[in-house]
Amino acid sequence: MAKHTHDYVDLKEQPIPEGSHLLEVDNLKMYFHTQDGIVHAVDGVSYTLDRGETLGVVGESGSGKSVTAMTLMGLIDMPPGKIEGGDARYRGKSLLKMSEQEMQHIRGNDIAMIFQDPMTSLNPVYKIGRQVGEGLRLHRGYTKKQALERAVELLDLVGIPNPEKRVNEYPHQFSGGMRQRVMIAMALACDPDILIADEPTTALDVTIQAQIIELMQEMQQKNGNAIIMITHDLGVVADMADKIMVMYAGRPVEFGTADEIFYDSRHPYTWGLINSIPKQETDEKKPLTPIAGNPPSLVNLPAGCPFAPRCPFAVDICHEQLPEHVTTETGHYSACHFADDPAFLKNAPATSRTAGSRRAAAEALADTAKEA
Amino acid sequence: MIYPVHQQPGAAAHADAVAAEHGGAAVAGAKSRTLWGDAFNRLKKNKLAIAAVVWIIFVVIVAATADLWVPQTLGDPTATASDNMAGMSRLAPSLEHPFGTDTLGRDVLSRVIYGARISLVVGLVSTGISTLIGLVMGALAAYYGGIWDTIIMRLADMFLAFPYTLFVIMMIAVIGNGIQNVFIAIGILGWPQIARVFRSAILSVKENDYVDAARAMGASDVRIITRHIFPNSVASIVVYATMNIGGAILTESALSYLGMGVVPPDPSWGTLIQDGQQYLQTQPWLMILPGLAILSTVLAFTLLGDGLRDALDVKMKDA
Amino acid sequence: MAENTPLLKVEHLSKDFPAESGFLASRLAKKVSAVNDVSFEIHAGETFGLVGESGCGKSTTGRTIMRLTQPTGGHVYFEGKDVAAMSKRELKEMRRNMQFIFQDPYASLNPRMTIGEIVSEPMTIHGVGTKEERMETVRELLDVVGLNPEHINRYPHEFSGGQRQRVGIARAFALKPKLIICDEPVSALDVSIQAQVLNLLKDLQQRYGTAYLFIAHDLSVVQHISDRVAVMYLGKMVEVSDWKTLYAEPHHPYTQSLLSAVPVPDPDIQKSRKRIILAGDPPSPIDPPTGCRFHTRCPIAQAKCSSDVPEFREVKPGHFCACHFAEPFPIKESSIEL
Repeated sequence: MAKHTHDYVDLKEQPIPEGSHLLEVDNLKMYFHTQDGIVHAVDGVSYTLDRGETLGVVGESGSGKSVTAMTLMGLIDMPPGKIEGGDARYRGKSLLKMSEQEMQHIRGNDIAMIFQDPMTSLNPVYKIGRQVGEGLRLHRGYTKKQALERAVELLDLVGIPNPEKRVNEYPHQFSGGMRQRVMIAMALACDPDILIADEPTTALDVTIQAQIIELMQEMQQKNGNAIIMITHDLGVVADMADKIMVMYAGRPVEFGTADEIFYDSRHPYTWGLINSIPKQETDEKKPLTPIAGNPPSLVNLPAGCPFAPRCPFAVDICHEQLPEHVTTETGHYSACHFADDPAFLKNAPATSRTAGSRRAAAEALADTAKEA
Repeated sequence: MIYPVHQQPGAAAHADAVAAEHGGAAVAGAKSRTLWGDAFNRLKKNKLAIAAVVWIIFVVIVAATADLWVPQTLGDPTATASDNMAGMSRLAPSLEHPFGTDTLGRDVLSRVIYGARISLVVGLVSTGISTLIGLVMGALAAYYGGIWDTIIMRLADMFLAFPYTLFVIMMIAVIGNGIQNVFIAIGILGWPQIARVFRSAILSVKENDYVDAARAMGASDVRIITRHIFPNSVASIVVYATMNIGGAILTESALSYLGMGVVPPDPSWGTLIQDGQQYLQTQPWLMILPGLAILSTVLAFTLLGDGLRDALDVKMKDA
Repeated sequence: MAENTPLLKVEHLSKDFPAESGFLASRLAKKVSAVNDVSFEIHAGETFGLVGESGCGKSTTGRTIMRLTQPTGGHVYFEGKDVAAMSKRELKEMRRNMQFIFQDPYASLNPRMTIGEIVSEPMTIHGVGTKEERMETVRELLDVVGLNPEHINRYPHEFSGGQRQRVGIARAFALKPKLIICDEPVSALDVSIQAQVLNLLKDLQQRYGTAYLFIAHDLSVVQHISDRVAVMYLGKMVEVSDWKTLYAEPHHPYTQSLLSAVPVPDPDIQKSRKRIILAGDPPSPIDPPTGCRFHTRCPIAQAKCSSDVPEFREVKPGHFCACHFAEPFPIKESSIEL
């Protein structure tokens, strides 16, 4: 493992080049070459991210949302993985062209990651204090004592009671929620630019999930870091995300601001997801409209749009031709042949805002009528 | 490595899982396969295991048909060359005697082939005995638990705590020499490992929801054991028993080497090595060639066991 | 059976587990109080939701009713008959009418049996029909749950998670039971598949008039499928009501915080609604808090809560709540309005 070297220039101290974003992922493709064939795990992912922003990556299992993040972090074994095209630039520097040694500086120091399972991501044989301080010793050249002191501060920061005592305890003495707090403390130890959170609350109960989300938001406000939140839960992204990327079969099908995805969605898969979730109702129950069928195999992707076999609106062209990204001027894109067809977009599910905006429009109309 | 962000947490495993999930989901149109059929197909891809199977089949055929051709072509394995013993003694390997001859002028290859009969029979029969006892004991311990489990497993621990070969020697000393007693001794002493493997296999299978599902349907104990628990835990026993055959062959050789197994003049791989060892300096083939027979056969059973373990692992498909 | 006899009646059900096994544990005699004094009724054809966080005892309740574990206290009556007093034959007859759907679609199907054998097994065990008749029923069932009847000779590993769950559902319906206990049947599935399975369960209920005990941790799912909902916390039932009242006017502070903690997939609403974020973790069921088990995390706890166990009282007709200070919570203004 790389030791801290003083001649190394910390990338996160470097200014972001003019006209670039903190993180730019541009048509990234990564395929696994397996015995069964080529798995199109990441197939043309594009997005941008700036400091202080939260990107929500939503998709079902096998949609490539975790693999995309792991590709950025250089955590995919190559082979069987192979970059097939595109780029990912962090502060203008390509992450894909970095050496393993450079990547080790990036991991934990500039981009940190927390995982779904807080039970297995901590090493059971080391004390919590040592694990939290490890990154600081590695990247910042802290002494053992300094690292431990900072670990106490960090644990305090993430809301662990009695941090002086608890740094000397082992992971099994912590509950699931507390371990996830420790993971966040570890990830934030070196004050990273980007925090990638891979389903950090999926293994936790809702009341604990609410605590962890609140903590991540608090930490973001304090440190100004960006967050990439990978989740299958649209509720969690509604709570946290500024931008959202919806993935299906290794491809991003829609990307935009949270408002655009929830209130102006332009892809039938996003609609299907929203319609599949039972709403908290207090008057009448509305029936669910599930997406028919099963996700396709990433080895033998159907020709045309990968969602076409399950799409209720699919027509011939969808089965024959892979849709291009239809992008609006705000950068909202949708991989659907009909994303710019206003008549087609009327099929989108009703939202609280369409109801509200209709009401607002009606009121505005009434107002102008009165004035007239 | 203790800092998770630096790790590569199972990236390869993840790729496999992605591949397996999608490979597994794509079932439409595929012909239905049974699990045993699947296992056989996986075993076929394992070159080492196939080589092992070929070797084992070869040894079995040669040993089984020995009476038909060995005495005629190579010579009787037990009868000494009474007419010209000095001239026939400890000849180097030649076309006529591929493995040479021993002190008494007997053809060594012939003795190795007849020795294979004994070794294979000892391996199979004693493993059969161990497996039978082990299955019953393991099943009792796992299914009924409580005091049964404690008694059986502590008994197994006691057996395992003794130096194995010493224990067999003691047993042979008590019940006497002879091939049947070798079966019994090795067979009886081999059960604790089988019992442990089977017990833990049952315990892990018992945790599966399909066992609870069967209970919830009102299935009887017998049905649960025979339809649900046994078919899913037997794979580990098949693997273990295969490897155990090699172990039993080794133990028999060790016993015969120590003069406690097969009674002369019957040949056994152990006695052949014992006979040959004093000529290691001058006629090394007398010891090395029977040694190679043991090595290759035991290795074949171990490799086959390894191959079976990979082939029968249902989890590899389910991940 | 009298007209108003509930299909299932659970009275003061309790289940303790020894905290550790091994000879030391018996001396310490510590117990995990997994389920404590739980009572409820399920009527024919209705869906009763049981919701709570991990370790609250909701699954143990289901398994104890099904007699997969023995209760340590209380009674379960099925069609008015005490399950504990049933003979072996009566118990088998009860199991014909009470089936189970499991959470894990991978572990709940025997990998060495074909789909046909799995779905027909309940009929085989109860000696229903000839083999040909059973296979005919299996084909019908597979068709009803949305699987291809041609796949009858395939093995579970050839199916995806959602398809396997459909096999589990077909098996549960094979004997046309009166009650099915569904233990987190959709929580292992992706959202799009989850909605398919929920719709399937509703369709089957309409078709066969089966009652469900629907156990889940996801409030939105439970609300969607249930007629009445019970909330459990640390082995205790804290609130029961019809789904509408529970979600519109939750009385118990735990129900209130649980409802407010579920993120709503609508940013406008999610960012504007009231939220109660509970501090700390649920305490261990090995040594549950005295008095009200929720008092250690309760935002409105008072001295009385740590000493007196709150009575499970009827705050409104059909709406029960176990809290000394239960007040309706105005969740209405923060819920979704379209």
